[in-house]
Amino acid sequence: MQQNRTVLSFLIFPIILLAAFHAPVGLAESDEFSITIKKEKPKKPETPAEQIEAAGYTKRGADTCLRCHDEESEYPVLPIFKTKHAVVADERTPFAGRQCEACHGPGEFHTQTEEGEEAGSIVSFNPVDDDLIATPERYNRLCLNCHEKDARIGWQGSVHESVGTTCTNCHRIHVEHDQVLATASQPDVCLSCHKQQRAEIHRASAHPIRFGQMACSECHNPHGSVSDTLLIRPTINETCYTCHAEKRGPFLWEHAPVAEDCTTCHVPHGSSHPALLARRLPLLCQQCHSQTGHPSVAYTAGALPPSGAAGFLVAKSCLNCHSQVHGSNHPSGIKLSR
Amino acid sequence: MNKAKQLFLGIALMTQALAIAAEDSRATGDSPRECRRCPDMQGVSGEVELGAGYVSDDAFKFGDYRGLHQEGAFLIGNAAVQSLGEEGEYWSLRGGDLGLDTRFLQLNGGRQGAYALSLGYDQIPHHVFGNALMPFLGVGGDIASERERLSIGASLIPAHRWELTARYRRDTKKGIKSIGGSFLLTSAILPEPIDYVTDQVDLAASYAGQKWQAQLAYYGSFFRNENGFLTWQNPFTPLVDGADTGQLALPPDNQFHQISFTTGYQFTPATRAVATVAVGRMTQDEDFAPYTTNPNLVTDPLPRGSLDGRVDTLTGSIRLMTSPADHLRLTAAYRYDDRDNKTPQAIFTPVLTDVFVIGPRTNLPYSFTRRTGELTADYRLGWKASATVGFKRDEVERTFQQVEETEEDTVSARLRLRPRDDLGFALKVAHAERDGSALELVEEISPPQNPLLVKYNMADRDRDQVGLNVDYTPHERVSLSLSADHAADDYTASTLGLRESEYVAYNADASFVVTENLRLHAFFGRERYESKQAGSQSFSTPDWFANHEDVIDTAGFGAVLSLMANRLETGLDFVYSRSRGEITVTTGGLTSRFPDLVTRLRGIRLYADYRLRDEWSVRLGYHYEQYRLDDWAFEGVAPDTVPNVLTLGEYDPSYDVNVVALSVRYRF
Repeated sequence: MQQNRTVLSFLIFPIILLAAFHAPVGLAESDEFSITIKKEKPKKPETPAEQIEAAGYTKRGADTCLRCHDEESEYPVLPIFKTKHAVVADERTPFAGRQCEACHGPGEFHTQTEEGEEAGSIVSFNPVDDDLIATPERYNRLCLNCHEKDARIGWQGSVHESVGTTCTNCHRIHVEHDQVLATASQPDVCLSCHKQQRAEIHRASAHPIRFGQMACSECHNPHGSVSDTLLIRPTINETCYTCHAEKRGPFLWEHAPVAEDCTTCHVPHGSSHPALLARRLPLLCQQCHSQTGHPSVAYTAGALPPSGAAGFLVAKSCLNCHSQVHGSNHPSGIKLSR
Repeated sequence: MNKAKQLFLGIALMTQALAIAAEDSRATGDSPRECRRCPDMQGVSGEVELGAGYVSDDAFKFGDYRGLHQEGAFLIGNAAVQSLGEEGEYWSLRGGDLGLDTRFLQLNGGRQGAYALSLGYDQIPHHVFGNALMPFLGVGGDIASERERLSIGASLIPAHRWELTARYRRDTKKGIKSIGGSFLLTSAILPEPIDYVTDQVDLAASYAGQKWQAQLAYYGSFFRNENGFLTWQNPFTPLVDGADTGQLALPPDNQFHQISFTTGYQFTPATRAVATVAVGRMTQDEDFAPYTTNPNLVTDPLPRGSLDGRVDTLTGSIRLMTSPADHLRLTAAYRYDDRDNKTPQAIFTPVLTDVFVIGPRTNLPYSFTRRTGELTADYRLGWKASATVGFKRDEVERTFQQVEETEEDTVSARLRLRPRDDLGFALKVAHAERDGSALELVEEISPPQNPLLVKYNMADRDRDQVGLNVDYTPHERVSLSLSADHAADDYTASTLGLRESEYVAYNADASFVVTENLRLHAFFGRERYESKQAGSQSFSTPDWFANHEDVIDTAGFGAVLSLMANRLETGLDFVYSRSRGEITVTTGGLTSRFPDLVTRLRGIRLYADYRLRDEWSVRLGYHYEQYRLDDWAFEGVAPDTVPNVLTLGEYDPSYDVNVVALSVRYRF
């Protein structure tokens, strides 16, 4: 029966594969991939959407843009000249090519905005303004044309992409230092959406994220990866071992859940219990261990000082003796106490 | 020509040939145009900050990860200097916390589009337990460690579309942690020396074309522990003759090597595949300690001198996406993850805590195989709406465990609606059912588990999750967000062990731009975790029940105010986090309630930045933080309170700390 189910799940793949190659490929590239370039010069169309489609590139590029988008501008753009995007000597950059219009699209009609008229007709990367002319996929395509590589190969189809996240939701392009690229300021960006994690990093036992000593990207690849939770390494444990290699083993006496998945016992973003443990000992251990004798005894508050002081309950609880809970390499370490 | 270069050129030529066959030629556009208005930002620029601060009290918990654990003055030193050249050459130097144990330095340089070099140093202190009382000679005081990280990186663009990167990182961790060392029913908490060195190497060659992208990479991780064993003197009267000293094996040296290949191919604008495969090997072959240090015990010879431990890992995934119609996308994904433990098995005759020999035991090299298949359909209407439905099957096979195979099916749906520009909803629901194969007793486990207990990571389970998020922007200056999440696990076939758990969370966020000069934000969150479990003291059916509930409130408030035509910026940040853990254990009809476990953190930060001139500014900062802990595991527990456990004494991390800081910043 198990075998049949496995076979079934394998069968799904070829079907999807076939569907993929028989899918209509007629979707216009211009709809999904880039801003259309039209050579002829029609009259300025009525709507911003039509203007975008019909526009040509300006003759003087950034020189035209910077006439209005100067130091006094409502949306300051000049710090971009301190960033990698503006390095002309690097032929891959926007400023080695179409300059501002490399990302914002042809600005022919945008430059014809009359005094007092709403400036539209160019991709502004503001969803409210661009409601009719751009989708998250179109925004992201502009960046992916150059950046779809390395850790971003898996962006399409990743969780963040699927929920409509755009590159500019997290990245700031016209600033000297993009805050999501610095260890201390990156968590503010991530935690503005990830509120459970925001609460967890403030708990008594947590990775040093709130002290600016650790960035989310030390464990996660927000651009999509093999693992469920966008980790930088293929598995949870391999990710943890990048800082906690002493727990990798393999050990002579392994503790099975440790080798399988660190998050069986630990809450990675923070816990109110020591050592980022999900629950208090001895209850956490007793959720799995039921052997006769001390593992299955009900320890009650009566065993606490001043009425008592059970070694099974206080200080490190089970770990007072079974201290090698991540595995032991001692020939006598079968009970994880050597 | 050396071998590495030959290999690279070989791969490069092969890939280039494939790429040419597959690629459209990329529209490179016009040659760079002149730009007279573009400001010239070349040359050296940066800022340097120097100052001093004062910490009001000694507090190890406050200093944890901050380096501010001692009362007294400290130096403030931060710098960020960069230089840009005409040909894309650049360098930058960033340094922070230069007067503290949290200092870092990062040097980068290169020529953009050609090569890049980096050198970094970072330090993190970790203060775990202050004023630990230990009778063991030579050590004592604070349980603390420090991690130092040195990293070196280089990348090279040898040809258009190609990039080679190499990174090396050395983590050195030194200090003391605490560890229990026992003799049957007595135990002492010991200081365990930490002297770890972990070297990690990442090498990668990547190719990025418009349609085809690939990366071939090697990852190596080498862990070395300068200490092999911890030997200590038994502070209790020995239970048997010769049990005067004990010996613990410290984490053994080990290595991990992994080669991975990741690729993506865009068949058409509407169809893409992404695949990755990673092959790895973990090894560990540290010499074994003898069975015991007790000379009076007669033991068998060790079956081998070291483990010769080896785990082969194989991880692979493929994801295929296609849009068969406008707005619709179908995704199929498959993932394989295998941990094949090839460590040899042998029969050992362990000595239990240097006291007596127990029967022959065989080591159990656990292996796991996980297969996950997923089908998702997304329907997306730009910013206005999107709907997703998905099905996932997750199969796990385990060796030497009570459940050989589990299978979990998950159905999920997500709906996002933005009916108006100022209002957005997101709803997600998921239901999962996990079933396992027949329960088997693992013969090697002695004494055996109660057959009614199934470990919760492999027990039959129904899981329900629902989450709702609402964003509302009633005014362009005001934004509000509310969310509620609920998750419930029901271990349907478990009579012992974990039977149920539940998570409920509410979060609210608000931000308000009062004027151009005053911005406010606030958040509040409440979470509740509850779990229910049962145990059996009589090794039969449940005869005790425990309920474990944690309620955690987290809140924050912040304000930024600019005054004097933006010459003065002042800010305030308040943070609050309180957790309350409630445990009840019911046995024989009586319910015992533990004292509440409480942690409480309150912090307030104030700062004022005053710009004296264009280049010079002065910053005054104040930080107050208060932390309180009520924890029955430590309260009233002196080193000798527990008759059979010699503890480190009371753990009291509570603090009230004030920090003031004054610094001057110069920009150039």
